[in-house]
Amino acid sequence: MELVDEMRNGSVRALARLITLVENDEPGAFEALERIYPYTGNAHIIGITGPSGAGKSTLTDKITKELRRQNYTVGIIAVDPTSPFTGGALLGDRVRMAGISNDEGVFIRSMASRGSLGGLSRATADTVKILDAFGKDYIVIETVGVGQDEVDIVKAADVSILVMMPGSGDDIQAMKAGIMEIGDIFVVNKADKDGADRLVAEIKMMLELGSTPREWNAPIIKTVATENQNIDILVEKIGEHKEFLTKNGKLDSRRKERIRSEITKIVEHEIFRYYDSLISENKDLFDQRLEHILARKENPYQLAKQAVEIIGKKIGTCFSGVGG
Amino acid sequence: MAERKIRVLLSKSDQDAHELNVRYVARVLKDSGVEVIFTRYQIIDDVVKTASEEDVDAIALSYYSSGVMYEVPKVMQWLKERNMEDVLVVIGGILNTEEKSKLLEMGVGAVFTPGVGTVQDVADCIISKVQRR
Repeated sequence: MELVDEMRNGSVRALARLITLVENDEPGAFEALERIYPYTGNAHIIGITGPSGAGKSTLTDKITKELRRQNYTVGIIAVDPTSPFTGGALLGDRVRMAGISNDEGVFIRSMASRGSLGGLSRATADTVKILDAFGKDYIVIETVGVGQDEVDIVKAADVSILVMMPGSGDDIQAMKAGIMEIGDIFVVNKADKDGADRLVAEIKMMLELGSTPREWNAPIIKTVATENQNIDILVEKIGEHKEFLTKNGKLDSRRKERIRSEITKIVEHEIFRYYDSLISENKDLFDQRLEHILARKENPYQLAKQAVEIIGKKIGTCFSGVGG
Repeated sequence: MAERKIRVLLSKSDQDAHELNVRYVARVLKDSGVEVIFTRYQIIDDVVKTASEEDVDAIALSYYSSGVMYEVPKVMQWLKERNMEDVLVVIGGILNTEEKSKLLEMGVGAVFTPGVGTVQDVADCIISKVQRR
């Protein structure tokens, strides 16, 4: 596959085209991912999430600048939500990364969530792999935490950074309890605003009350990203966390879990394809059944069960030569 | 196969103070189902690097002050050099008739000036031109 060879040889255009290929699930995408897989596993993946306006993009810009200063190459995936009504999206994170936009050592890709079920899309996870195979030392995934995204980004990254800012007062409430426990580094950005210290104290308390015993002492760092304040400390902590993971073999076990959940997602997706074609091939019939269910002549569980049986039989015949 | 979305790079110089109209175009494009990558460029070189990384279908540049006749030829040249001639280029802004015809001669796909059609017309034009390619 030429595109993969070109990408491995350093072609940015090929890299970009490969990302499009997997994002649109075009023919050849699966094959491309299979071919690049052996070259992945080297990059360190940083996940940055938090509420809108906390300063994630600015932070990404500053962290990248610091990593570049240390001569590392960086790939950035900036995710923004797709409008559920129009299917379009405004991908404006690059605006805050103007400084690194013209750096040849930095590759930035804006991605729309495209209504992916269950948070962070497969396209994002696949794009991480392509950037990894391209040779990026660090890959940053930056996304607004909405719904499942927060938990997903923790799974997708080697280190997850939660960014918050003082002000609303219910920042902690807004962040789901689960993510608060799994976050590796906490950042209180815009720390020059009132309430910064209070927020730090709240996070500290929440971490101390947390049910999961932690081996890594998650640091809470106050930053003013626009002034580059404490960015060096933040990057230092990323390095410390990386050392901690590698020393205790935790990096491998964390990545193993990631592979496990990736496979689950791929399998789900493949099975869903059967369901999707079953429905589109029987549109009118399906619609009729929906009317019946609406009128309480039957229930949705029956329909679902029937669909599963049909799909099961179909898959069964495909695999009739394989095992049981 | 997943749905194929149209990706448009919408950009303006960071030296240009006028942004309201560009943001409106961004909104209308988004409402029309397009993925809009909005940037402000420090130098025009940024635009082609961005378009390359983002693998966009179209580049839409907005000019409310000078620079268009200096910058657009560079963009067209770079796209040619990088084998990206299939990327649609459209220009919008305060342009006179002479500039407009020169731009079209260079290979710019469409030129939009104030008063000619609505912003929705601009969005529809970009979408249909991309779909035709």
